[in-house]
Amino acid sequence: MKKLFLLAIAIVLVLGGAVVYSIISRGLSTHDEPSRVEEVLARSMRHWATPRATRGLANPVAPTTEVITEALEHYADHCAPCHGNNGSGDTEIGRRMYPRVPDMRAAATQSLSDGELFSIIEHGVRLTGMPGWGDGTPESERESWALVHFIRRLSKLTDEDVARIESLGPKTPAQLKEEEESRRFLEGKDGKDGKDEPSHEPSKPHKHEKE
Amino acid sequence: MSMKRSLLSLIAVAFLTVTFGARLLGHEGHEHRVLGTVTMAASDHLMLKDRDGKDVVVKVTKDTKVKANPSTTVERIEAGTRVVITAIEGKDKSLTAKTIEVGRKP
Repeated sequence: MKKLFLLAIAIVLVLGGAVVYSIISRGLSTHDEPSRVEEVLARSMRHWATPRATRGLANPVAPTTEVITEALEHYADHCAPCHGNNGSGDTEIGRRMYPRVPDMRAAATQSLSDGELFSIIEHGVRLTGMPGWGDGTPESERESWALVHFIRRLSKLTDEDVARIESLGPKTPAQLKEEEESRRFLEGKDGKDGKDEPSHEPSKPHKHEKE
Repeated sequence: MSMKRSLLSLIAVAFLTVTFGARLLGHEGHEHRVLGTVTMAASDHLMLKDRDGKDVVVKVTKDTKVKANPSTTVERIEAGTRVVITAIEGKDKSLTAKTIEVGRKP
């Protein structure tokens, strides 16, 4: 047992030195895509770190229409900025995190038990961008369980559902300005002088109104 | 049990950091918004003139969403149509459309 412990310490020291060397020589940029090996290892670590009792928990919240609607709104506000309106993880933030934000519609997420999903939402995952949203209150737990139901439905979302999530999502003043700019451009109302651009129809002369 | 778990975590973290250290990669994955007028539309790409008069080519994939009312396909977008494209920049600086919002027709 003592030999095993010393061997482990030696491995840690060697790898620790290598870590320091790696940080100094290559930095800790998140631009690289994590490899498959790293992904499998990280997922396994997370699985082992989740207590067996938690993994086996059954969802105590009934998936009523109200619960799903509430979860959709909660998802739009808290999750969609990173996980995407459709759960794909294909977002500005998601593509730049290390590890990448997963496509929650895929088997890697959907194969997790309800208890594991709940644990991830409640407690977060260290060394990733996933925060622990729970505060230990029954209300917080209920919201997390409702989100588990919603995550199970991600692959069945309709275009209307996705549009609703998008409309409910938090927006910065810059995003609102961009949206307005896009809308005006698409409608042809982006005259440089701030006035609506006139519709150019050669056969019908038009007048510009003075302010 | 707790010490074993800590050791295991340490080894794993060290291994991951060493083996999969990062390198810098320009602006890959950066999202761009292009506002422009279509000059040519095909099923796999769209050519447009942006608001500064610059020619821009945007790739189209099966995942590209076209938002139009009434609904349409990329190749049916007429030249002169105003579009707002949200695109992802690739390693080669090319743009791939995520969404194409179709606006006023010519």
